[in-house]
Parts: sequence; structure tokens; C-alpha cells
Amino acid sequence: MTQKNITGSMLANMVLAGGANSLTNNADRIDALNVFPVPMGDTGTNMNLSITSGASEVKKSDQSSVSAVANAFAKGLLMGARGNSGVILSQLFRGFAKGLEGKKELDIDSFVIALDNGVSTAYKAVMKPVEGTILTVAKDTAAEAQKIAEEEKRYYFFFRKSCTCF
Amino acid sequence: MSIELKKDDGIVTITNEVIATIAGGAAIECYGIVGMASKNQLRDGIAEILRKENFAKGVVVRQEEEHVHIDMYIIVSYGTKISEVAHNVQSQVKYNLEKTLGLKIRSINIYIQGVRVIQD
Repeated sequence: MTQKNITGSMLANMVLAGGANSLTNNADRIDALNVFPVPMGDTGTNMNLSITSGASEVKKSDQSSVSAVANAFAKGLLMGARGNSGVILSQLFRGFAKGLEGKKELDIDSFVIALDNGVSTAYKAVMKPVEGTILTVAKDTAAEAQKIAEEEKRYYFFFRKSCTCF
Repeated sequence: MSIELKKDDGIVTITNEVIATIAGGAAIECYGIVGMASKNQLRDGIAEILRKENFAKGVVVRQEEEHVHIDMYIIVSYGTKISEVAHNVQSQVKYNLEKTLGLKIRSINIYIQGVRVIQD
């Protein structure tokens, strides 16, 4: 709980057990949220397919460094991207992976920088960003995480605060 | 060129310009699109991004018998899954045209005229 750095295998676990799993379990709820741009109710399904592809790359990856794990995840997401949401997700993590390029371990500050880099990469790939989408959520999360990081350097508390700020 | 819709109370005529503007407007809201390109692009091999008033240069509307077909010329962002972006454009343009004009589209053909690498 007082851990200062995230290792490659921890990041892999965050992606697999945390992110991918909860997305899979909540795919129906996200489907129900889908009203834009085309209200087809398939966002959850699309994101689930995309992140599953990302997760399977992570499983195969070298987990000795965070950079390798993040790159594998970004690659898997890119290859398996489905729908608008999947493409956006892949861009968020492409930027995230670029933001921690070459790093073996991750402290809170570089985590926040990588998060921010993910958001700006994702925003660059669209001509007319429409607010109120997942992009806005990502942007606000990154901004909020940055504020929290200024005073909280312990991971457990950092993530707990970041995840409950909405 | 224009498209005529026969309604019970008369005929509604929609010019191709209108369809092009709506289709283009819907397309540029799609994630992964950098812009619309001209159909007759390529001055020195560089696809130019069209401004909103010129969208018709990058959208071709064809009517064959009762069916409407659309060709769209777009520029996408590097590092995205381009096949998926193209597919998103198709479904979004189709949805928007049906919603705003009540126009059934038979096919939307996407031509990727360029891919833009964004420095970071």
C-alpha cells in the first residue's frame, strides 16, 4: 500500500485483472449509454472486443518493464480496435505508451504525465472533438489525477482518489 | 444534379450540395478523420484538406434508378486503425443522412486520399 513504483508485471495485472475484466463485466451497461454518434448500442461490445485484443497482447508480452507492457497493450488495441470507442481507446493508450517510452518502472509523476500524453494524442486524431464523449472523461480524469498526484504519492490512495473523483 | 423524394403532398428536391455538406459534416465528426479531401487532389502529391464550404469537391453523390450512392474522399490520422475509421464514417454518414433528410443510402464508398502524421 505504500508502494512507490509500478513495475511491468503490476501494470500488466492492472490491465488484465482490473481494466479488461471490469470492462468485460460491464459491457451491457456501456451499451446502454451509447447515444452518440450513432445510437446503435454497441459501444460496450466494441470496447470489450478492442480491450480483449489489447489484453491478449499484454499476456504475450515481456513484463519486465512498464514500457514493454504499455507498448504491447497499445499495439493490441490498435490491431483489434472496433467502432469509434475502440479507435479512441487505442489512441489513448498509444499516447500513454509513448509517454512512458523506455521506462522500466513507473512512479506517480510519470504515470500522470503518460496519462496526459494519452489524452493529447487522442485529441489530435480528431478534427472536431465533440465534448461529452469518452474523450472528455479521459481529459478530466487526467487533469484531476494531476491535482491528486501533487499531494498524494502513495499508489493505493492515489488510485482510490482518482477513481472516485467522478 | 439533385435527388427527388416523392411524398404524398408533393416532391422534395435535395441538391447534391446539400447532401455533400451534411455527409461531410457528419464525417469530420468521426474519430480518426483529419479532414475531407478533394476528389481531384494531388498537387505535388499532397492531399489538401477542404474547408467546410468546399465539401462538395470531396463528396460525389450518384443516383442510379431509385438508389443513392455516395463516394467520399477523406484524410485520416496516422496510427489509427484506418479500416475501422472508414467503417465508422460509413455508418455515421448513413445514419445522419437518414435522420436529417430521410434519405436511404444504398452505398457509401470511402477513398482514403491521405494519411496525416501528426508530430508530438
